[in-house]
Amino acid sequence: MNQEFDDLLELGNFYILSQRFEEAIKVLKKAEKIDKMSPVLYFNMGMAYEALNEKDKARNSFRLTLKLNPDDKAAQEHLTRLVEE
Amino acid sequence: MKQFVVIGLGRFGSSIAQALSAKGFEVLAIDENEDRVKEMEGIVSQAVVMDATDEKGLKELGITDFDTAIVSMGETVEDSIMITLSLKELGLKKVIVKAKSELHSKILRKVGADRIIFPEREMAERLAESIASPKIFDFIELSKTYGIIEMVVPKKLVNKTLSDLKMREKYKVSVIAIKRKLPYTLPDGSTDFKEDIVVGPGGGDEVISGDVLIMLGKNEDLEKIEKL
Repeated sequence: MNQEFDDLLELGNFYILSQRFEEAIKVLKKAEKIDKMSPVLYFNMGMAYEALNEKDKARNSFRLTLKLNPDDKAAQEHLTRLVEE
Repeated sequence: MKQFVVIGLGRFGSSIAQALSAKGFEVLAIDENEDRVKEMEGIVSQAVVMDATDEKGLKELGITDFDTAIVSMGETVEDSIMITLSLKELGLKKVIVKAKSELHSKILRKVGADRIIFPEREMAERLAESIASPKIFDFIELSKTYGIIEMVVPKKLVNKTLSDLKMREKYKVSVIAIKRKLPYTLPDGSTDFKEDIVVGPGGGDEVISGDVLIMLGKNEDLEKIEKL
């Protein structure tokens, strides 16, 4: 595991929980440059975009999560909600 | 408790019957088609197979005890006019009718319909609005001059308190509520949201990115905010 990636992911999560969604996206994009195969990364990105009401980007992020982890129920729920809105 | 009668159980009629029933209202659903009525059994309080153009039959059903009728006869314009007329003659207080065309709507008005709806058109207009401006979730016209808009906060207004923003002085609109997604951690460490709504926010409330503002004002002033 890459420590820098983990740190960025954690920082992203911290920003999401602090409702600083734009900052969360910035750090998650940095993390994406290190690892493009992490479903957790795209899930968190989807959450941040969803909170910002950037629905197209949120949908794309949750789709990427599901591509990498088809069993992710939470991502599926969020995606369904965003598609049906 | 309010009681509703829904006549015509096509896609629109059955959806509205289900929605009213889910809200806890007593709903009587009527259609000529037995299959459609069967589908509503157990969902609404009562589902009856009958030809609703039969005024006597409607009377026998005790239709006059209902507060509101919703007439949704998909294809048969004539029937919907006949039924509306019967319902008004029987003394029903409020009759809402689904119309197919402007002409249909005109006739319905003449025979006493209290409200005429064009669900497809209304839905299409809303969809067009939301595709054209994805940041606007809803717009309710209160009068020709005033409206309520529900929109994602423009970037220019983010990270400031309502008293800093001086919405009323600067933009001549009142923020009546703020909707936002509150993140929280689940026991397994993952994150989810719950919808939070601040009704009648005060000057000290801060607006953050992604917030949805519900604002009341003159239509022209609301339009200015849309363009921020």
